[in-house]
Amino acid sequence: MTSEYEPVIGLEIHAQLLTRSKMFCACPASYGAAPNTLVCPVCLGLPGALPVANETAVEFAVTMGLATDCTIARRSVFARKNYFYPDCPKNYQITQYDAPLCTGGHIRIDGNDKKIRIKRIHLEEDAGKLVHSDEENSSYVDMNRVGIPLIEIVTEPDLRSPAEASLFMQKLRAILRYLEICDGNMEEGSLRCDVNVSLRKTGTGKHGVNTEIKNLNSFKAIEQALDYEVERQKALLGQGLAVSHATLLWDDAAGECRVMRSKEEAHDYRYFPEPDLRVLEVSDTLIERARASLPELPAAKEKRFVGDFGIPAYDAQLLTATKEISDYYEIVARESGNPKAASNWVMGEVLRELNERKIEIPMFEITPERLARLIREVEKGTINIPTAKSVFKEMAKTGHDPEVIIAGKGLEQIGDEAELDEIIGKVLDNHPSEVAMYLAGKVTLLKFLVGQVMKASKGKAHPQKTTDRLKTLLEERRDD
Amino acid sequence: MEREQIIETMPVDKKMITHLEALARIELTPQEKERLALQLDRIITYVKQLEQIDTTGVEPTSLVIHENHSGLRPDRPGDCIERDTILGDAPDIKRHLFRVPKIIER
Amino acid sequence: MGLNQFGLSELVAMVKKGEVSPLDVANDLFSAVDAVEPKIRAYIEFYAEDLLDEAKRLTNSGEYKSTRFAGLPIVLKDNITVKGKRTTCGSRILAGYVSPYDATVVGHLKRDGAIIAGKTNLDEFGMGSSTENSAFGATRNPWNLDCVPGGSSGGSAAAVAAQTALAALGSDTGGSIRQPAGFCGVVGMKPTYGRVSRYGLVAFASSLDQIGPITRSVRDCALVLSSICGRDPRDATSLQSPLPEFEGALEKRREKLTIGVPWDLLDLGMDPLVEANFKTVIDALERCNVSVVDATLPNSKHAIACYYTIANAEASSNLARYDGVRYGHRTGTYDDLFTMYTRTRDEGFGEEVKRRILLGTYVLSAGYYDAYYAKAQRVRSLVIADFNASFDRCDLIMVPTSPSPAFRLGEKTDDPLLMYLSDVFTIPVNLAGLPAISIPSGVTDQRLPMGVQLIGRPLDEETVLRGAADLEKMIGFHGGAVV
Repeated sequence: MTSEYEPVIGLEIHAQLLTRSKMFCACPASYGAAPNTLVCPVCLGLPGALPVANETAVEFAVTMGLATDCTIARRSVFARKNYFYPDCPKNYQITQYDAPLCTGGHIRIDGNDKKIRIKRIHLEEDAGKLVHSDEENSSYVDMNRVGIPLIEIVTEPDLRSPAEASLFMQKLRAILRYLEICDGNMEEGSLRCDVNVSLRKTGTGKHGVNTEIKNLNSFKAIEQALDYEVERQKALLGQGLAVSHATLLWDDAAGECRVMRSKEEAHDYRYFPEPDLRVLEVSDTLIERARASLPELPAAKEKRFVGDFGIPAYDAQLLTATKEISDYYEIVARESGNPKAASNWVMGEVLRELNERKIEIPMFEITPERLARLIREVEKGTINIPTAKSVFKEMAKTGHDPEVIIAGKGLEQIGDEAELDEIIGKVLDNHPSEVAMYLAGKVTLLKFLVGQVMKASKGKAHPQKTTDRLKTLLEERRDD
Repeated sequence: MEREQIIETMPVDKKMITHLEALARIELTPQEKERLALQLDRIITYVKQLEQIDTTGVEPTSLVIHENHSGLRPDRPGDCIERDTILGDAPDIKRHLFRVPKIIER
Repeated sequence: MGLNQFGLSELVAMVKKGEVSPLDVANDLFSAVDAVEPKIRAYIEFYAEDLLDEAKRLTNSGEYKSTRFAGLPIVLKDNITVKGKRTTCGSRILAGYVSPYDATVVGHLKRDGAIIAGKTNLDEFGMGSSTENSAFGATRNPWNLDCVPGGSSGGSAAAVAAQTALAALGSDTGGSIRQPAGFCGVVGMKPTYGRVSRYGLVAFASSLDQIGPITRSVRDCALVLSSICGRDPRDATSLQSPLPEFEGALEKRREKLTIGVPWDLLDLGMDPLVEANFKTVIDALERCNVSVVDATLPNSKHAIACYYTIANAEASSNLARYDGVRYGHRTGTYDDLFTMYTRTRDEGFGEEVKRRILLGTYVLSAGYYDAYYAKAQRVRSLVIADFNASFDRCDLIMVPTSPSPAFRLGEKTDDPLLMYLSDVFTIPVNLAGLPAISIPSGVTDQRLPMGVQLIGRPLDEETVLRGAADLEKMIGFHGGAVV
């Protein structure tokens, strides 16, 4: 059943840039310091202090613009957005308004089938952190975050479902992380997303009244909040009621949106060009440097993995979700010589281990080279898969090489015919009735006997060779 | 593109002053308001002479910089200011944070 | 005769020759301040102890001999920050505020062996032309205590004229160095926009503000200028163009100067005394082998309207930070954040500042931006173009500094627009970011000084100083008033 209405969704994303210093001053752009220790006259807005723009922040923003096929403005303008709020020390934010740095780009989603247009990307400074206390009837401000460089990325309203919005956000996050310009941590707020959503009659061009949802700090929250809001708007329209413009706050715990402010307040930000800063001129050199620094992006890498390694598109998409995983996989695939096995290992054991322990690739004891060697041991027949999995666990725990663990624990498979025959002979001797029934025609008992051999060999018997020898030795007993 | 527009005769009355007061977070006494409304109206009437100047095709100037150079800063962290110094200037602090009356959502 | 009656460069020479010590100078200056300051009230704070201690230390150690200022005192307008000292900007809203850092110019002065000896009075945040708009009371003109010293750097100009300072820094947004220098009979210079770092200058209108010297002679002006100019990585608008040798410029003999006089601007009207004085100067110039030509600045008649739009727009934003959250005054009674802001700002700002903030808010607000602010920016381009065209025909442009000599206290306080109009000859220079100097050109029969202004091409402080030095010699007037 097709719905009468379709959602029209646009995103406004703020990403904190991984520069060493702040956007307009030399304070370290770092986190977790004691309150109000990472401040200086500039970010605190002390009388007489002046902003000077961070060249690396400009370069990062240009990089993002290039990665999303934007046009980079050779001349763009910083502007002041004037509003009073205690987390904004100057009571204006330095941002970009009518002359942003990047415009008119796009990101592809859905296996590159759908293009979501990027309206603009511009640079600005972050605000401080507020804590509210009901008991003390006060709010408290920590200025450490003030002035951290941000890029604001605004999409056109091209997204048509909550799932699509979430998917887009995942793609965007992957790009930011590939570029190593933002850590993409949504829970901690280094990547933030506000959404605009309205409904329109399917197939028509006319947009309805939209609402804005803030405080979405996970992909799940984006999808859930949009689902919630789309349903709410549908219900209203279904009853013949109008949607009214509002800013909503997503309450993750309650699973609902709350109204933050109902009508559009008389916002008048009185934007004007920031007179303390020159026009932002982006040189050819800077653009070329940014272009040269562009890594292979997820979409291209996905395509290459399918082509070069012959893995399914679905696997390739998962393996390119982050740069770390894709780099890790690529080494494992090349060094093991078995890309398919590498893909199974990385998507299975590796991701499980990382998730369980909540760690990232750089912290992981099993280097891709080591995992490749483990896979090679399986390939060579030194160990079987179940043994390999226990070796993997041991490698994760100890950080040792697979060969060391295999040798140290004597885990090499028994593939030697004489050795196998001896074990098989004993098993057959101990199970005369099963042997008899097998020879009488109950061939399904072979599996049981293989299991017994495995048990007797403590799991080291080579599975294929065991089966082969068993069959032969059983046949030999037929004539006895 | 130039947007030439003739300003409607919009007196700076007390209502306008009230709006500006809210935007600029300034509270005036009734007498101040009365006096300022008159003065601002006079000043703005004077400023309106700008309307008559033909600026077709003229680019706006917001800063006069007599040289070409980016004015950007290398991304090198420097020193911060001692917290006690900063907080020493503050009218109201608690637990090393600036304190303000509780904010009811924006 | 106290040593404070000598100009800065003379004293530097005397100190370096060992004829007098920094402590001798400090002692005499201190005595002069003690005697004269109650009448003039040029200072918000005089650092007597710092001055005497530091002068003693330098005198004893002999460290001063190789530095530019040789351990002599310089004072600052109190909108320039000094680490560990109060910066008031003449406003209640900065009550109790102590700056945790030095302005870049302060660093330069200290590096060059100057002792920062005090902070001078000003119109609140630089907003005014009379130094009457100060939370610390009005400063008087040393030539006539019933008259204003001009503004907003009135404290600096009055102190230099009253010989309670050897040299001072001021700041000039629409004439705030040159006009008080003219009113007090001293030399005041606004360098090219970007020559002097604004880091640590409390902003009034960022695209127009510029720090400059107020001194008793052109030579002293060049001496101070050579210390404070230069590229500052902390100010994105500061210029990295190479610095000329300012002091050397005074000796340099070059081809004959051509000075342009923009009669269309002068036609806007001025006091007959000023006009007569200005014509005398022109006559004298022509006799001194300077060619005087006609220049034209047709759009400068709109400069005041343009200026008050742009300057107040920027000011409304620059002054938003004074909100009682992080420093300065906070009102005693408030129920919520909004009233905390509005009462703090109402109590903290004086009337002129509030007027300008509201005006600036108005011209930037939705629906008015294009008509006022954007329009003013375009007119600014026209004003600049006029100067460029004029400089094709002359090396310097000359106008009186102000259309009238110093006016009486209270004379213009009730009529802000009338006060604004007195900046008609100085404002176009700030809009165009040009260097300009005001030097004394004579005294009225009421014993009030008048000034003449030389305006130069962008970055051409050299020619401005050279022209001013020639004119100074010709006029034979040296700064200083007898109180």
